[in-house]
Amino acid sequence: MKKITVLTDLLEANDVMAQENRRIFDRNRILTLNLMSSPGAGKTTVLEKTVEKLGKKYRLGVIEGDVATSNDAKRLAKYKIPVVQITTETFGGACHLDANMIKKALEKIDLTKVDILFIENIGNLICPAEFDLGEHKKVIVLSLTEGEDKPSKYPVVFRNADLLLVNKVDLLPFLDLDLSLLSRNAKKINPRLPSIKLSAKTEEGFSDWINWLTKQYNAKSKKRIASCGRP
Amino acid sequence: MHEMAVADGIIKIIEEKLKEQDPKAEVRKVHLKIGKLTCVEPEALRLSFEILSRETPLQKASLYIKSIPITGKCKDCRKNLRLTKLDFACPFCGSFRLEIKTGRELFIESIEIK
Ligand SMILES: Nc1nc2c(ncn2[C@@H]2O[C@H](COP(=O)(O)OP(=O)(O)OP(=O)(O)O)[C@@H](O)[C@H]2O)c(=O)[nH]1
Ligand SMILES: [Mg+2]
Ligand SMILES: [Zn+2]
Repeated sequence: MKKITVLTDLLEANDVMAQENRRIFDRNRILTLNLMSSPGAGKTTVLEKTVEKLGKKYRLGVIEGDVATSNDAKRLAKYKIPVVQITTETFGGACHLDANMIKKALEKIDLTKVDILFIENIGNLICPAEFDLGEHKKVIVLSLTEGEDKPSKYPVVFRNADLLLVNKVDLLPFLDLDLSLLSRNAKKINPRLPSIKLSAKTEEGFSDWINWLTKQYNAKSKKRIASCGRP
Repeated sequence: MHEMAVADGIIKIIEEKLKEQDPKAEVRKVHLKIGKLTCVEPEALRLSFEILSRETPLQKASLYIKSIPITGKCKDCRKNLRLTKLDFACPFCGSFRLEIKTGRELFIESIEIK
């Protein structure tokens, strides 16, 4: 038997490609967000409402990740915005998106016509955590029905996140749930993680999310101007 | 399943390596280092690898997996630390401000071929 050294790290290879994606986003002045959650937490519903509220102000685009279907892409396509579906069945049924899949999806979007790009990751809180896609911010959507202990059960994804969206607050009266315990659990893992409580159904709290998005977008444009050396 | 994607990535990288080095070779052993932070279950990885490597030069290969602990340094008390739970708290002072050094590996170290 003969030994061959390989010395390749899958995550490092992914990180390199993610950096390339990030450069593409920056060159095209796009703010990119990676939305992660358990199945059914409400990512697509949040996106639908976001397009309704923000679609006139910014040019939005969506990359939809799904293992097998293109249902979510169809739900968003009716808004006449660019939507690209990634079906990971063609990648061995992967349960998360990786930077290479995003790179391929970007070829199908006219990036000069997008200001904010949303990536809906596959419904799963374990696997996507360590796979950088080149996004600028990671957003976790957690629905109330999932319970208070999710941050403790999925610490890796919470540790790496930039925003926690607590969705389905309209259900609070029907549930035996301690919202402050949920916040405490999240703060333990990631003390600086901001959170917004909202309902994509009743739109309660939705303006906080819209404000957060607008702030991120503005911060990014300012940084760009600064780095160009112009006032 | 997470491990499917990881196994798929491992197989693709090794197939590329074989093309450069020895296109007719059969792989018998694959030496991996897998960090605890990656949430990869060795048994699930073996199973995925077995399924996905069929009809490739890796179909007879076994995985030798070395598990890498999560280690780092606390930014507050400056002690080197090792996490045995995924709670991201410094075992010495309880701080959450940690600098993680190891544990993110999905590393293919070497292969043995015939
Ligand atoms: N009551 C209530 N239901 C909601 C809310 N947001 C989403 N839903 C419902 O929750 C279900 C799942 O919502 P989706 O938006 O499809 O969730 P998702 O995270 O995109 O799901 P996957 O892509 O399959 O992981 C749907 O039936 C939504 O109507 C909310 O704020 N309140
Ligand atoms: Mg969805
Ligand atoms: Zn400490």
